[in-house]
Amino acid sequence: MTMNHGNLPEAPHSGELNPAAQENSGAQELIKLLRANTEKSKVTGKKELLKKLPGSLDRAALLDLLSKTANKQAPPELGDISHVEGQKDTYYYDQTIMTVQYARLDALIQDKDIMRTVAAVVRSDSKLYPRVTPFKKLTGMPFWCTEDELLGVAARMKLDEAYQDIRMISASNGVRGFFSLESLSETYAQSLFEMEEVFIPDNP
Amino acid sequence: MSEFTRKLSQKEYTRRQFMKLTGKGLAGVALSSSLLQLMGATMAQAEAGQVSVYAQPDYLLVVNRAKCTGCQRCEANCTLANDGNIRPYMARVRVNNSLNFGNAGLTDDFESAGGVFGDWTFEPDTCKQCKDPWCANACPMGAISAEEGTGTRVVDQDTCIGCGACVQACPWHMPRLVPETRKSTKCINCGACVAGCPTSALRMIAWEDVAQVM
Amino acid sequence: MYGWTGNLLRVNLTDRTSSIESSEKYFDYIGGKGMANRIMYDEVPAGTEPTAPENKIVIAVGPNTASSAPTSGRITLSTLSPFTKFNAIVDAHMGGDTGLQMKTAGYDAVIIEGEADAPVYIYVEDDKVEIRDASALWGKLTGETTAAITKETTPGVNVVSIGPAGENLVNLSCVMTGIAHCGGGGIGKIFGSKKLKAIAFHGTKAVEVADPKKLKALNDYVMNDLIGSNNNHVVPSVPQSWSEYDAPRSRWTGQPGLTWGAAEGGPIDTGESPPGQPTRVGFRCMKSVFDHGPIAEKYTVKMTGCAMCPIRCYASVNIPFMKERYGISGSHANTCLGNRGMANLVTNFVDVEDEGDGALAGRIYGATMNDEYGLWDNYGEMLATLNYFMKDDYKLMKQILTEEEFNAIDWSKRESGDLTFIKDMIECLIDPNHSMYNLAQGAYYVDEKYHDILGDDYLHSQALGLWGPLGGKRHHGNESNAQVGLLTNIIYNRDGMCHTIVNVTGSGLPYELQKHLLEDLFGEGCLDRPQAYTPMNEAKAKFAKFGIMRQVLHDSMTLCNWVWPMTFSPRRERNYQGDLSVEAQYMSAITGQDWTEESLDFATERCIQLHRAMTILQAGTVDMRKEHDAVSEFIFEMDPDKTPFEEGTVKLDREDWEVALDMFYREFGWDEKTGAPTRATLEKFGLTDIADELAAKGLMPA
Repeated sequence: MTMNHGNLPEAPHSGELNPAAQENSGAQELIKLLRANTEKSKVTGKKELLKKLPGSLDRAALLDLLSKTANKQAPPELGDISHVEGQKDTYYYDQTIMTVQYARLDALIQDKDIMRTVAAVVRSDSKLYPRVTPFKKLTGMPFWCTEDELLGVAARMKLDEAYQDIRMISASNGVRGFFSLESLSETYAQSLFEMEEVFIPDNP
Repeated sequence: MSEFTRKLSQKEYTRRQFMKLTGKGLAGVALSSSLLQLMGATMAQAEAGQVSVYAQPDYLLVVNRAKCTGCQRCEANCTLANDGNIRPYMARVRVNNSLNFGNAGLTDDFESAGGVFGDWTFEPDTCKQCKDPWCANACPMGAISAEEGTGTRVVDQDTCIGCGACVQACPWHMPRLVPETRKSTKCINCGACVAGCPTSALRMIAWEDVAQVM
Repeated sequence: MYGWTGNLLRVNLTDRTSSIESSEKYFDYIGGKGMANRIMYDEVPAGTEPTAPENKIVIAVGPNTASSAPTSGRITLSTLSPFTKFNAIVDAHMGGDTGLQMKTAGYDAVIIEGEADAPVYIYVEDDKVEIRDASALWGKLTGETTAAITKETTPGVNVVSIGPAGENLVNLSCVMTGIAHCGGGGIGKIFGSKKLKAIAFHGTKAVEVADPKKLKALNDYVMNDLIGSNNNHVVPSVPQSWSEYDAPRSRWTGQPGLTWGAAEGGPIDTGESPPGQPTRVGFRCMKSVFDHGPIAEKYTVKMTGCAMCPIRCYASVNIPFMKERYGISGSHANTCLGNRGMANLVTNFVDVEDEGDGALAGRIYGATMNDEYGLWDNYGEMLATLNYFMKDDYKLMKQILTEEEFNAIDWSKRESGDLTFIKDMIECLIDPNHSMYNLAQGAYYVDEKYHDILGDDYLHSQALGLWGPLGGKRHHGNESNAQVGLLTNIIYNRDGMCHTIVNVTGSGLPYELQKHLLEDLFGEGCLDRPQAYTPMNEAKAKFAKFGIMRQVLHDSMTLCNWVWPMTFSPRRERNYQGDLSVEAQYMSAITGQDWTEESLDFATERCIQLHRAMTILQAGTVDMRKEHDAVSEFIFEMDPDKTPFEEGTVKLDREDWEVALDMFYREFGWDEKTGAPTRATLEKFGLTDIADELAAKGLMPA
């Protein structure tokens, strides 16, 4: 007799952990936490982990496990965990769920340096796609900057040696954006932005 | 007690518990957040009465009207899986008739009613695999019976005489008579509609999973 | 029979008869557009007037229609264009449920001929075909018409109807189905000229397919690995954890925290829907916010769209305050330009509850009015024309309206933001006795009528934005990869409607990655950086040809060219490589015949050669290059501060454009001087009979 289970996954089986996995329960607790955060689109900083040790892990055990994630000979349980270096911390995530590009972005956000975050995004957009970064990208997920914050960033960047390539522009409908002179000329950026923000919305 | 009968009785126990809890619909019922998550619904949606649940023998069937976008892929997938062709009219899950003017049908004031010409409410009609099945009760040949193991109401094609009593008796007219064979056909819980719904408006949740969160 | 139904339905409105014939002799033209065009060639002689009873309407589906393949709900309607130069063959493409109901009623094509002596509608329920009295429906809006026919027939019936615009023989009129699916191209006028208010389908039959298992596997493959969002945009509009890229203009707008805000029972989060989750694909296209802006979220009930399509691009919104303010329900759905209708006739919008809701209400009002009256905007041309005539304090409008007409219109509503101004204008536009009626006939006829006051400026202006003086609007033209996009526009006797190229350039992937994937297909230099284009080359000619080929294939088999082809994939594991063989795989699984990409390309090209030859016959000139393919002057004169090939412009270079035409004609086997197919080309595709007719009429290139 076959049971009709349609296309649904089997119900999870509990209480069937294999012995090898039980030995590594510390690792599993760490993985569980990192995976849960990754599922919420968040990388997890080492400092945060040390402040609130996951499960039964002590500080030494945690550091030992984290060091193994960077190691090519990492135990298989840690194989899915990767990390990116932020300016203020090292951030861990499950690479089966999250891309390294997103992890780098969230590391920037968690470093809480808005100037650096904006510059990194803008330089990448200008070079990679190429495109002007509209304010609306930075005011939305996952940045959630305010328009006023971005205007403040634009003003401060003018005074900071490190951001002399970043420029703010407006399209003819008043929409604002940033681009980097490292990759785009002023006139080119202006025409790209006008196309994206005015022409295409009018001619969808 | 064999493994099979043990599982079956657990399933039946959960089903009965659930039906007891939700006997008068989901409104006012304290559903756990895990159960709501399984159902793909919010408490507010359940409270508003737009999430329909059908306690079928093998599954809890959830139809979330707010998520149905009227693409009719459920109808196509039903017949593709069961008949090897695409025949929405013969599908055992149907939304087409309700699409324009809603599940209550066309009224003079259609702009204030359901459907795409009204307020966008429409949902697929599905077989409820009734505990006391109208279709089986009406069949003069006893051709509709509960399948062993799943409890799904199925039509025995050799016994069916194509009289159409099941179609008429079902309050939602869910069984269909195939004109070419003059035999009745109805939902067998295969899950093809659920697996292909692009907005998860249709879900089937195994009772084992319901048991874990109830 | 698999895929095709094998049946043609012929309905003669003059003697009110119908008959069923075999469709088999048209299978070489695939179906949809190809089949409909060939029937038009066989049955409507060149030189026929669009509104003459001798003109016909052919509605066609293809072997793939209603097959369960994602986006297989579409139909093509072919007739003679009432609104562009030459009145040559024109196609309207429509979604909704018509393809599904017509196919399951058992027909590959419906030929409507003759003309009725009083208003009628056609009711088709499988083999039962009735020509019914529609005198009570004449004058009704499209929504009321659908309700009335449903009441007279059966629940679930699909109604394709015209509104007052089509009845009044407005050139820019359409047919509508469902709440807002539109078939344009002036087809509403042809319905009206035949006194045909509507055609309604109800089908109970099966679409038989040769290999259901393979078909199911293909559906799973497309849904899991290939399909993106509307326009097959394959990256999300905001960074998401599963994605390597993002693109603010991407139509993959679903994202955590963005909801169907007015959903019954509370907001529904559109969330993440990464590849490999087919039961979440329908949340990817959050078109209400894409089309209307963030204000639309709270009014979005759900997203809807066409039968069989998992990409729900119809923004279904409900704005409760519109009922009291404007007397309409405020519940409407549409997509892209249809979501605007004539809103921008009004220059100011008055907010009601929140900032921006006035403009949103304007769009919903404008869209509702166009759809209810069955008025077609010619991809924004009618609005551009009206604004052209209203500029400089109504200078031109005062010249063309009588004093009485001008004074009867309350122009102050326009600036005060009273949306009923839109309705006032529409009622003038569809009134044959009003001078403004002349502005709803398409730019070619507007220019013909008023050339003495317009001079050469209007037709070639950027404000109007035609691809050429033939009268079709530029539609993803030179702004989409310069010469490549514009080349896809010049084929038709209307706006281009080719989305193959813009789907690629708008995919959201980085330029270098797009270029790498495309150069494997078309050769080096096929894709320029955005607005930094290079001189014409053969790779671009091949890319442009591919664009047209896939569009015609999709309109013929049928699939939606607003989503297909699957040039790219959202999957990083595939390095974003799409799969261009899927259409042929579907054709094989569905028909049971052995189709390859090559054989399908050949059949598709036959349809294009046919269309070109028909255009030459109907235009009565072999010189397509000069008389048909000529493009608007603004394309060479835009951006006055910039020169062609300079970074930051898509202004084309005149000499380079001639080279582009040479190369494009060569790709299709057309005479380079005239752009007309050679006899050898026509014979290669089995079009010898057409070659003979062209030769007999002196329309074959030397």
